[in-house]
Amino acid sequence: MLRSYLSNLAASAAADPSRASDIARHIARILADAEANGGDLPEGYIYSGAHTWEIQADNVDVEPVGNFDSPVGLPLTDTSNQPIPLKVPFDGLIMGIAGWAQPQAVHSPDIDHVTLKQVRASFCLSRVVDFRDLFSVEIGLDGTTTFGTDGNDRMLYPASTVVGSRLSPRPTAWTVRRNQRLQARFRNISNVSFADGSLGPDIFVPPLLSKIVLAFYVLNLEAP
Amino acid sequence: MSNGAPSSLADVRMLAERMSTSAVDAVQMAGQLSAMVNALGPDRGATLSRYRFDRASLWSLGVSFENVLPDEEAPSKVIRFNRDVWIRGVQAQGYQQFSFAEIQPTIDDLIEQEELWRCIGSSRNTFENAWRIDDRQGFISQGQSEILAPAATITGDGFFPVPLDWRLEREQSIEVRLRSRMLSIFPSTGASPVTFNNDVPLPAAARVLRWVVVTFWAEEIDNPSIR
Repeated sequence: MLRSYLSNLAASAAADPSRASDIARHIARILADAEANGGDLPEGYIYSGAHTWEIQADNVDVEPVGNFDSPVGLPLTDTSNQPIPLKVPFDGLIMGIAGWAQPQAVHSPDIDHVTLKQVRASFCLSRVVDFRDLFSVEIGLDGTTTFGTDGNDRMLYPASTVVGSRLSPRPTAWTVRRNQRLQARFRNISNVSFADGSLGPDIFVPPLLSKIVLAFYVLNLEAP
Repeated sequence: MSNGAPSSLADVRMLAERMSTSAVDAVQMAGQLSAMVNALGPDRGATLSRYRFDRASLWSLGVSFENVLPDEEAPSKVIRFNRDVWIRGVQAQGYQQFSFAEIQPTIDDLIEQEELWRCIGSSRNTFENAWRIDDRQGFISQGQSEILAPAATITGDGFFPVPLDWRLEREQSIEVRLRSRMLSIFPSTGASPVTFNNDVPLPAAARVLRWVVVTFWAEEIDNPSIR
């Protein structure tokens, strides 16, 4: 849509009332076509991306990984954790997605405390902003569509390869509709670098993730 | 609508239609029409940098490599997707071994290893990648032939994504190749082999990449379909 063209047409109508009706018909036709094509105006642009939806998980523990000689449990790209839903409250344009987690040092079964060194080791495990390499994630919609895949199977991948950080969210342009259900599955993968049984429990236990957050930055496409 | 508030397309169209059916209204409302047209919001392109994709669904098309040995290229992995998508970026993440069955580390050993890896930097420094479509010439080349390139130079980590912008057609495949660089960081032979400490050789597992994931961020313009 050429705003300047429309503006000139409207100015002509105001300047020459004898042509106003014909010009108005022409403008109405252009705008009807624009609406039929989805409009050149971004729906809801005036409402700004003020909304944030969050899917949160608390106290996510690790799952067995075995070691590189004999892996056990589920594949690293799967989890036994259930998806966490978020009911979409309004039509929205998701403009960015960020992930964040917080590790929490865990004491061994025999000892009722952790040392500061163990806390330090828990936090220093991550080498990616916002601890996104300590958990994997799979985003889905309506319980049937999942967006992490190799083309055949649904897959959880490290959050650092699926979502952005709070400072630099993954840019998206993804429209979701009211009452759809976003969902996310998380897995604590902070034990991937440790062969099972190779760490004495009095030395270090892979950390719990006391909080995992997936933040969707949203433009409201409905009138407030 | 001429009080500074933005007009909507529907509002302007309805006014124009009313004017088109009544000559009297056309004369009386011409000024208002002009004001409302001028108050139309900016085009999509002026407000949304990626307005053409504002119905796009979100995909992470990935491959997973486990237990990559240090001295050989891992068997390549293939992504074959059943719909057209735009590939918008590529990310990678690797995980090394921190502990080994042969040597049970102390907490100080563990912290030292973590600090070592922080000094080495991104996990993407520890492997090389290349990818190609449908077995054709790969995209990573030295000008004449396909090469494997350090992942640090061709993939992002979500914080610094490497943007791509190419269309993957339905049923096309992406073949991803991977080769470890661990031997160049921890040589096992030659003039300067690396040991765990002065007495203990570095366990073989220390040079194994436990897990490497490469994902392509893709957008499908249609609404997501049921899988």
